Amino acid sequence: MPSYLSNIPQVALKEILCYLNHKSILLLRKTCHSIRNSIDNLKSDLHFTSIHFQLTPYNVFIELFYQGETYEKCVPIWYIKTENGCEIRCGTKKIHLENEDFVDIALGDYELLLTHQNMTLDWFKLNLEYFHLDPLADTKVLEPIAQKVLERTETILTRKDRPLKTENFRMTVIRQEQAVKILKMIDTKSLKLVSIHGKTLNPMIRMKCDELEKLEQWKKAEKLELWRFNFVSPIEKLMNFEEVEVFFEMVSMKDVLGVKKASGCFPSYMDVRMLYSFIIFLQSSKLQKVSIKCNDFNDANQLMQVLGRFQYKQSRYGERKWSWFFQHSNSNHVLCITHISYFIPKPNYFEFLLLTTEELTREELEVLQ
Amino acid sequence: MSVENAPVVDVDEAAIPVEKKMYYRFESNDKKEFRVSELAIQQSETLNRLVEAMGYTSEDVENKPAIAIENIDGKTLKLVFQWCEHHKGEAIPVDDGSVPKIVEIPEFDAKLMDIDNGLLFKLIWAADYLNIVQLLNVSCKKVANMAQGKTPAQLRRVYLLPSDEEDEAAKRAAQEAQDPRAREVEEEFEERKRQGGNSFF
Repeated sequence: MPSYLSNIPQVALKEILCYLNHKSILLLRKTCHSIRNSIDNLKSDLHFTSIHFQLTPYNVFIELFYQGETYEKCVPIWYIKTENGCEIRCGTKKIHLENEDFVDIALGDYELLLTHQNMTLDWFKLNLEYFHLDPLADTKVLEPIAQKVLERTETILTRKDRPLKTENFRMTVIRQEQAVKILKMIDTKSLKLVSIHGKTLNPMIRMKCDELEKLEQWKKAEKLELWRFNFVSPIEKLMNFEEVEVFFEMVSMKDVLGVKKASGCFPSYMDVRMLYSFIIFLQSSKLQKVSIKCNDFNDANQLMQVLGRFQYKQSRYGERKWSWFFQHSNSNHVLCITHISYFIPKPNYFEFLLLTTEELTREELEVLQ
Repeated sequence: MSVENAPVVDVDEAAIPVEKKMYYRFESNDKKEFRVSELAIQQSETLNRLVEAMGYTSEDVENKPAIAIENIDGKTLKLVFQWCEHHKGEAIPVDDGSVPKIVEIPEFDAKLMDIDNGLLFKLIWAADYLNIVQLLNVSCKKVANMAQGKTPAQLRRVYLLPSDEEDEAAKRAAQEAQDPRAREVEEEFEERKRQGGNSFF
């Protein structure tokens, strides 16, 4: 009767592997070919809680999170381009591989990680950092590499028996189709947050979301974060979310006056989309919170005049908050509009939050309109 | 009383006072006979189906020959039935595929499995063959616990694994027995793998 681990039934081996952490499984893969083949065939879970992949023109940074005994731990791995190959660093360990491409090596490992991931991830992050050091030169260098990473990732995810499960999905991209390529491969049931980041430098890019909006993953997610790019779709498209955080550049005063004419009695200083969100918010059955960040907003005084009674709070870190509370005519719902700004020039924030009268403090009830 | 000397047949009649218990007789491949209660058999899906299909009466159980389990030796089967008797009547866990899987090894099971690795692997093999879900869970958990903090070399020793060289030599010997050209093909494959198979892991 066989008593070697390599000879026990696959069911039992699978069972054993499900109790092992990633370290033991990866070490076990190194013991012999037959065990490595068995582990790879069984695609046993490595029990990572989050997998982050960041690409710059000169390195790949993979961060793997797992649950330690008391708190979450992280394995950071660098794949760095060198003159004659690739250097891999993990903690104090360093390996140099001659004549190897850093992206190919990183993608090989990434494939192993994603293929073996069965557990629902907390975070899946894939960041293409186009603007690492020198925006123009870096973009040129990164473009073909980014393409390679996206295609390989798509292939890896396609080959999986079941779609990759993650609660939070984040990508840093410069074009919509890059995010579509990967987001469409993610399991819809487990997905809660879709977060798409644009580039970090000015001027801010405009990005359409029309293709993203067609995806089941977009429709089913509860929260949406669109950062660092100007959101150009009509805001009605966001009605299926419960929480939304978007960024757009504020329009000029001239545009604002145009809106005032068109909108009649509505608050006149807001741009079209601000206005839309205001209306849509009251119509939507799901939306509980909308946060809007904008670059320019110099007309705070007018805002106060139009919206009426407000509550003012100032934190010692320089954050100033104005809040208005409007009671919905047919229910006990209260729309809370908060404008947050800082003494130092930073983006302004607008937050629309749906509350009920019971949730308001005495001070807030005093300014309720 | 140590587990090793514990009787396989549970004599605690007080546990099931009303029901008249039926004991089935099983025989290992080295001709050791065991008497196992009906309730304990339910822990094994394979054996439970088998006795259901046989439809033995209490007379049949005594008069007909013991049911042969040809793949398992007496030493292993003794552990299996000791485990089944101890856990009889317990619900059989359903694997809902949720990960990470959490399994605790009870004290009785820990003592039962305080055995050499060879026998432990036989026990796993038997638990799988007889489809005893919880025994497979705890025995696999025990084997998994043995891997904690070990290097590949230590893992090879613990799990009695061959090294890559031994593994390949065995494979080659088997292949050569069938096809003399296999070795060349294998070498070429390995060479290719060495060239393109670099990875951190």
